[in-house]
Amino acid sequence: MNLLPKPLPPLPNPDTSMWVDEAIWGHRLHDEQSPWLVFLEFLNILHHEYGKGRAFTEPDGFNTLCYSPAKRLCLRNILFNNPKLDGIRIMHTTDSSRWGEWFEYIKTTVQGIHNPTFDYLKKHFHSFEDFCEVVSLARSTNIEVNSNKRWTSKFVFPYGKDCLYEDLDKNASSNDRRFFGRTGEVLYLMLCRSQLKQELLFELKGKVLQDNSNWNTIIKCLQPDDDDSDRSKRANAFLPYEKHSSFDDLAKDWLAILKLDMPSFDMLPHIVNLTGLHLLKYQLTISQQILGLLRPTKIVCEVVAPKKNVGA
Amino acid sequence: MTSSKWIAFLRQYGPIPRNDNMYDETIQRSAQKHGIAPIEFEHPAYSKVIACFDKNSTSYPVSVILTGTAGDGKTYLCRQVWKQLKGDDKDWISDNPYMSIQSYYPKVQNTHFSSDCTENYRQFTVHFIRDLSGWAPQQGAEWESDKEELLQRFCKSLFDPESNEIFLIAANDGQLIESWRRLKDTEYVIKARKVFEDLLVEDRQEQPGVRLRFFNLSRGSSAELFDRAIKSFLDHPGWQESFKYKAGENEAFGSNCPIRHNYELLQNPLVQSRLCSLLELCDSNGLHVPIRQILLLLTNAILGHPDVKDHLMVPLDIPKILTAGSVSKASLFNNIFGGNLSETRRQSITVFDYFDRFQIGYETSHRIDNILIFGDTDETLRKYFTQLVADDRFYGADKRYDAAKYQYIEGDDEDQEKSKDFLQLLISQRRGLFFKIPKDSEGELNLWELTVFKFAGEYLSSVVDVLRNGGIVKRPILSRIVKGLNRIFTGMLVNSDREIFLATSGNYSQAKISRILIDRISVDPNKGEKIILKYDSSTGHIILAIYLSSNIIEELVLNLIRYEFLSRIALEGALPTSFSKECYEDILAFKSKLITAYEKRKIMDGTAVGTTLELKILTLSEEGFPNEHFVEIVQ
Repeated sequence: MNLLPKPLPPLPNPDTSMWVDEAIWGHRLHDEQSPWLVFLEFLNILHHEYGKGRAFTEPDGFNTLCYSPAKRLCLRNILFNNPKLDGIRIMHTTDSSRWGEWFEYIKTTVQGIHNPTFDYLKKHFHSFEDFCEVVSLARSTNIEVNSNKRWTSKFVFPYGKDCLYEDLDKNASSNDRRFFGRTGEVLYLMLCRSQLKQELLFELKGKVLQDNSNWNTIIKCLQPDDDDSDRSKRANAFLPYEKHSSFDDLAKDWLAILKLDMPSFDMLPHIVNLTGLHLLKYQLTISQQILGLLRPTKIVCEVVAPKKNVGA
Repeated sequence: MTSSKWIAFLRQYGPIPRNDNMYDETIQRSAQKHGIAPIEFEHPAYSKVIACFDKNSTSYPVSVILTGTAGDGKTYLCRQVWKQLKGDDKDWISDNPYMSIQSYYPKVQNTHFSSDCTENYRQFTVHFIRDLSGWAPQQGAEWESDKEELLQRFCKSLFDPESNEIFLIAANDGQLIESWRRLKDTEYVIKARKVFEDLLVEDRQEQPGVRLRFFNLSRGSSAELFDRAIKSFLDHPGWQESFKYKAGENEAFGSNCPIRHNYELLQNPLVQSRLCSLLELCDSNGLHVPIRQILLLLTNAILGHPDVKDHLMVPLDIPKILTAGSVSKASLFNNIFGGNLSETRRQSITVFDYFDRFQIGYETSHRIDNILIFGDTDETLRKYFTQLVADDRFYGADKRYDAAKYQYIEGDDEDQEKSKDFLQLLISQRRGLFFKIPKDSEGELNLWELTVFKFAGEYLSSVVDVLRNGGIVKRPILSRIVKGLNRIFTGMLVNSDREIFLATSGNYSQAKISRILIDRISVDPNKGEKIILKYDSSTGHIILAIYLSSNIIEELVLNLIRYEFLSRIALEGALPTSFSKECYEDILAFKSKLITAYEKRKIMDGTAVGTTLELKILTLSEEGFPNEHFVEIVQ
């Protein structure tokens, strides 16, 4: 068994009082963050860093990642804080009265936006009905579609850069680390430090980092042109190891999926599931190395039913 | 040979406790001891395997790997090669998993030299590893250096045309790859591992430039094995010897003897053909039944009885069974499903586990149950009852059945125990019907409703047989499959069956409901598009091929489960959940492949991207026909 590499120095002013878990696994493995949300947090970082031309590198040294994710509050208010949309379509018969009524309504419910206007929508859609149809389709494909999380913790499918934003508290003002608990940052740093990062970036460029998909464009049309300005800086990401076999294993599995001949968005659920597995494996492997245990790690993956039926 | 000697020998093939690793050896020894010839028939791979080592037909022998599940005939084939190379019988019975022999092959193919002049021959060492699991170290242990060295030599020899060493290695499924994973990573080990994996995954026997033939015996047809096995099983002289002695009617092999009756039943072509259908259906579901299991099935079918030692009858048991009136418990129809064995024993035996998945005995229709319960008193049903149940004086309606039925019909609700008795008997009777309903009544009585796979009969006769003989599947069947696919592809109760609807939920194709139409693909030939069913003779698979153009084709293996799944979705719209998960995901994955193919076609056609985006949204008319509704988005 490989020995655990010497950890990197801790952050100068960590934002937590008990620096224990963080010193072992990084800042941090968060138990309320599902693999999908880990992946979304990761995509926010990847797109940001890719935009700056430094994806998967740490140009200022280890653990110096600093990025600013988008908020996209117009989009989110339309999709997730707008329950009367369909009601308005049904109650009103003419297109102009529908738009008029809805503009009035949304002003009263919208949250987190200073002086909101939604006039831009009219130039993208021929009718209010088409607008409703697109909203309903976008909603039907959101992540964790049946969850009853707060509206600020609902996420549109990551069709491209314009679909990414960070989790926010219930007033839509700042990230309270409820569901974006930095595990996505750990994931990003793991891949930054894997030996396959160049190859991985190449594959991701062709598939995940492309912004010209139809649906990314459609989601973009639900946002005003200048909705990208309100961003806050996120720093203090920390992963204690310069390299580790777990990082390479993770990258290897991602690559295997990315190289398959399948529609790029169909790959994402598989990548997400593998990410969950690899984070678990990372946690167990490090624990083992710290304790000096030699037994191989075992994970129960299936409890076989005692009686088989035809489908089994 | 007396009948009891024959039966005692036959039991070795049945479901008795034994050491499975030594099966072939045990049978050989027992045969010698009893002075009885073992049940033997030519293994389907025999001539191909022998040809690899035959000095009359080759100057360039190659190594052979035999892999497969326990009971696939690996040891048997090794023994045949050993015999062919004139190996000593004594060495063979030594039980040593490794042996070697020297053999001479002509330097030039197809030449025979009158003198044994050595310069015309090349000497080879043939290494036999007849049981890799018995020879390789236990999991977790280290390789012994001489063994590791031998396998390293083997790996090298695969890529060296000059090597004078060849190997015959037999390994259970999984054991091969597992053992190779534990060898030191030399250049040749890595190359060999890759070759094995490729051959296994791609289901092939050889690779250019590699001196190896690879036989994966678990890919063989169980139905073909059955045809060979039942013939030599029934023709074994042991039976004729047993019948020679004119037994009294209540003695073993007399006219009332269930062993005799079961033997006669097994000769019945209808019983054989239904059994063969079950094995063919196992094959088409990817469930392979090895030879050993087929012989176990046949032995148990004839000798099974729940009340005797090991649940297998011997001649001495017969008078007791007749006196006790428990002949019906020896029913061949029930024994075929392991009904004579305890539940745990039954579940641990592959063939019964597979047969259990058909749920024969538990599945039924109103019509069938009405015949079984009310058939003797109902005028319209009586002829079926008489023909299928009453006329069977062994396993039909005996006194026990009539009494239990009376209790069931007339008894009060509180007497659950008594009803349970009858329900058990009913299971046995339904199993009997599965083997007794004649071919020409199959449709009328809906034979296949006695199984979980209601479309299995149609699948075999109207799809597999038709395609195998070069015919074309009837249009209504293809239409039904297309309709089933459409319902899964869209997640809506679509009734269209002339086109495939490729739809997604956005850019993500695996969503449960997919309302965004990408394109339609025509079933009838149209601009290179078409959808056909065909037979792949190399694998025995039925293939649904969807042509997006003459050179962009996507294929789906249409096994029985998928056929049943799509048919039921098309006709009923829904399925019991136990069926659907795996099939459902397979079909969605197929849609994913079709969408990739569609994108490929688009690139080849050079379709331009415009500045407006148009979505085609599917809605359903009342008749279930999809309408497209357009939504345009201006960028």
